[in-house]
Amino acid sequence: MTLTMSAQVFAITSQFIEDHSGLHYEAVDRELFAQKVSERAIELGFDSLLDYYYLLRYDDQGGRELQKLVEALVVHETYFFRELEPLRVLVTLVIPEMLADRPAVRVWCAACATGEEPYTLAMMVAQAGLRDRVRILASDVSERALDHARAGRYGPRALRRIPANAPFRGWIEDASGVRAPDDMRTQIEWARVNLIDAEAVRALGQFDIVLCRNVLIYFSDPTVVRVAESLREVIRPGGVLVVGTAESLLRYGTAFQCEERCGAFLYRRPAR
Amino acid sequence: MTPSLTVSPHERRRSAEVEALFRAGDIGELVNRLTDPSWTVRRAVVSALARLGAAAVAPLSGVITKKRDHEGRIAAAVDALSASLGNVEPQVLELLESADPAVVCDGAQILGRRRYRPALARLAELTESPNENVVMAAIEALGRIGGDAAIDLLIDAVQSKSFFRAFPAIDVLGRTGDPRAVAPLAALLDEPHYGLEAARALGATGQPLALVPLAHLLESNDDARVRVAASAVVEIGERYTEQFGPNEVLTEGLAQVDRSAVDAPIAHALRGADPAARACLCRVIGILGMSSAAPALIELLDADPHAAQAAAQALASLSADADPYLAAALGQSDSERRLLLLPIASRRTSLRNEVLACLRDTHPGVRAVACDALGKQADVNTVPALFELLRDPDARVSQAAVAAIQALGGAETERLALAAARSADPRERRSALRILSYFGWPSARDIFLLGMDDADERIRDLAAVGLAAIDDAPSRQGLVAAASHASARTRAAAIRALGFSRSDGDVRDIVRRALDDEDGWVRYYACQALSRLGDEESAAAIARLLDDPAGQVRVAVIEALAHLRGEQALGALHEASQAADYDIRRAALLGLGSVKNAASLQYIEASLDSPDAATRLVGLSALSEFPAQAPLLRMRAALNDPDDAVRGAAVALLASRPGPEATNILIEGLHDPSMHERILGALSQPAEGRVATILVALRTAEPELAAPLVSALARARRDDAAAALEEAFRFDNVYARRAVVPALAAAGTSTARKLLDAAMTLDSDVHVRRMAGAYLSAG
Repeated sequence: MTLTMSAQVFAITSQFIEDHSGLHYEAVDRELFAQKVSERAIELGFDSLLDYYYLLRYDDQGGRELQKLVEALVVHETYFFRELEPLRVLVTLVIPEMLADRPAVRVWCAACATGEEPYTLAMMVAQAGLRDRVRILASDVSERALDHARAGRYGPRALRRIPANAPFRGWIEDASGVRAPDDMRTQIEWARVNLIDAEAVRALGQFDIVLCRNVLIYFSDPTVVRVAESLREVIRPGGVLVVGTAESLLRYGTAFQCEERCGAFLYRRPAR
Repeated sequence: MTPSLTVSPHERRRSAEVEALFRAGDIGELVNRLTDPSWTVRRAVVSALARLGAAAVAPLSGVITKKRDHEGRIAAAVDALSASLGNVEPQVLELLESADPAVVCDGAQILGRRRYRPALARLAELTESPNENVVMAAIEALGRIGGDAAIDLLIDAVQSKSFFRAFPAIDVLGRTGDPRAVAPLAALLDEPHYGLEAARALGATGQPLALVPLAHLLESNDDARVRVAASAVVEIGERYTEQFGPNEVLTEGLAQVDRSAVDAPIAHALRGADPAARACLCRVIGILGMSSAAPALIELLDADPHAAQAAAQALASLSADADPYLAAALGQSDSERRLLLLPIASRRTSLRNEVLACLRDTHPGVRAVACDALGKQADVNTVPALFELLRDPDARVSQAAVAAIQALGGAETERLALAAARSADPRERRSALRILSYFGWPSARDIFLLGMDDADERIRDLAAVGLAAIDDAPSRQGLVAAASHASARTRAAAIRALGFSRSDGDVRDIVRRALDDEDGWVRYYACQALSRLGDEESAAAIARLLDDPAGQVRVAVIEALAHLRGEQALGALHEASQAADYDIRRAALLGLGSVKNAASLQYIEASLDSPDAATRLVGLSALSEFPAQAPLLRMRAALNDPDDAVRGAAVALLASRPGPEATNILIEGLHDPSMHERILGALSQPAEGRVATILVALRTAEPELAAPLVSALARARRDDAAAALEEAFRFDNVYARRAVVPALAAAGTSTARKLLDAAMTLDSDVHVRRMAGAYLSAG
């Protein structure tokens, strides 16, 4: 059930969403965007998307409703061991190098969706015997996705790219899929963070490694630049940022130095 | 923008120094700066040296011949000479005589980029150089120069069977897009060293003539050859579509393929193919309608998104022979795969039972998409099953069920909806009220009236909508009563609904009083309702709310004033079009567009300078309400707007604007690659004077412009455009005639064939004669 969305209403509503969440929509996305927004608008009893926009913009309930709308708009499509090479490089090379001159390494999975990436990393870290020396913070803009991640229950689709000998030690298997072991679920720190909120990002403290994969594609170029700068601030000098394989910061002339390690591309913040 | 991630202050300073050196004509220092570590600064140096023209040619040639210790410097010098405004050719031709092969390569590259035809003979000699790099550079240059002589030389190189000459020439010849490239390339398909490269090059030609030889390659037992053939087929389709718009060229071109010979090779090649090749193979499977490949395609739905999308498209295009596979897959798949299969099933009524079973899936998304599919299958017998989902705990599902029931209708729907409206479950009641109000059945009036007293606010909202749909005296009475309900939300719903009812004095009085309601949303809907009711007398009362504390009310006032018209309203709209709040501005602009008063044009024009893209977009759409008066200069400027949506709106506006000026602005816009496709679409739309103006431009067009202009005419698919193509084929401008040849071949009419036939022998241009011959000989 989709309400009519004119080009003008699309322009103002999508701009409003982008200003508050970073999610960027092109004109070709209008139909899908209208469908998602309509679901929320109809649920609240609106029959006009312009009226709904004014609710977001002017009403006291607007902030709360905006969060629900963003929840409906974000894409949670991911799976375990996705884009594995950069994670292998981190666990076998980068983290051991960092641990040579400090007791622990702090990693932030900055757009963890339903949690497959931080769990994958936690498994690989445990397999490498580094579990006690790597602290993982996983965040997402969607509280619903984080609830899913905290629960740690996954169906077959999330497991569709499992490599041979995947280290699912301690995971509980049942008819509907798998469940993460309790100690792993609690070992990962979960937080709701909007990446375009620089204050909120800064409040997380400093990290040695930030994984920000497959999220920059949903942002416009200026937002990517803003977010990259915000991430740079929380990465220690010498620390690294990892983005998705389909994403690249090179065309933005970033302050990071791009380096290739065994086929994986890392963006390193220059040491002071 | 964060300085550390964009141009640094140092780079900015050095770029400014470069500009100063340009103004001073200090060529020596500019050449020294060709090695600046910043790409941005180096581009500025290259630009400065190019603009200095003849004076910079010798120093730049000196860099290429004598200072070859820095790759960056050499590349920048080549760029500067390629773009130079000076007469560089005599000196660059000398580079071709150097004993250093690297210098010869640079010279060839510069001449190719400058499309310097007099160099063709020397470049042809260089294709036989003992140095591979020189051969490669000469062939690349020939490809860039193009034209009949270059094509001949490239064909010679391809047919030479000298590996280092033929191999690079294959790719370059393909990229020329010339029909004469097809035969020599097709002749290489069975050659072990050249076959794959030739197949790729055939794809790059974009020539449907190449489909037959490529189709034979699909029968190969070699997976690599099948994959390359599929990719080439798809590339031809894409290039042809770029040129002539949506078409059936692949379906027609592959119609003669022997399915039994290609089924097994394609299915085998699909396994283990990389994502790009998989997507192309899926496309070919869809075009060929290979139902036997359905199981493999279904498996691919779990692959990477690109291949999954291609597989889904291919499955959707298969005939009913694929239905048993789809039925089995729907029954056995997990929820995620069902999400991908259901949209395909929505067009296949034989899968009704499988889709119905998906209504019980544990994944709410599947249930919602299954509802959508049933709605599209148009089988009213599924309505009772859809009613079961009205109480689904997930809002998406109940909304989808409502939408499907609304789409299906049917005699049973009214009875079921009335029953559901009495359900104890509030979600089911709400969904039922949506259905009843959509159809506006009078039998639901009492239910709506009862609904206005329901404890659930949302039920009362929907009941108000239903009463407005029935709009008889008892219904209006119910809404009038609800307008003084204790709940602000219900008052707002009642006032909104009264705006849709038949206007009478009582209704207007009630709505006018609502302008003073304590709740912002009630006042908001009161403004909307009064404007809908056309209550001119309330304009002053509405205008008093221009400073309302609730933002949405201020916007509604502007919208209402626009509808109510009058001098006061127009003045308020003009003022509001300059308000600080962008929403107010945009509402005013929309209003000014609907009022269509010429005095408003200056206010609308001013909005096009707004820093807010959405405001510019709304301003432009307001401008479209003044089709004959909207200033063309503003539209031309909007074509270069930084916001894509604004540029798109400008194209749409110009597309419908009559007269040669708008067409000429669109033609100017063709130089922007990001706008190319949209402008071609606009130029192919009918408008007074459009075709005539395109023809005027074609009379003098250079090759870069002639091709898209012809493409616009070909895409139009109208008699006047076809006649224009025939007329353009008689122009003195050889570039226009060359561009028209493939368009006539694509048209395939008897007139087009006659014209090509005559041109094959009579045209003064050898390139036109040969292209026409190539098309005609291929049938």
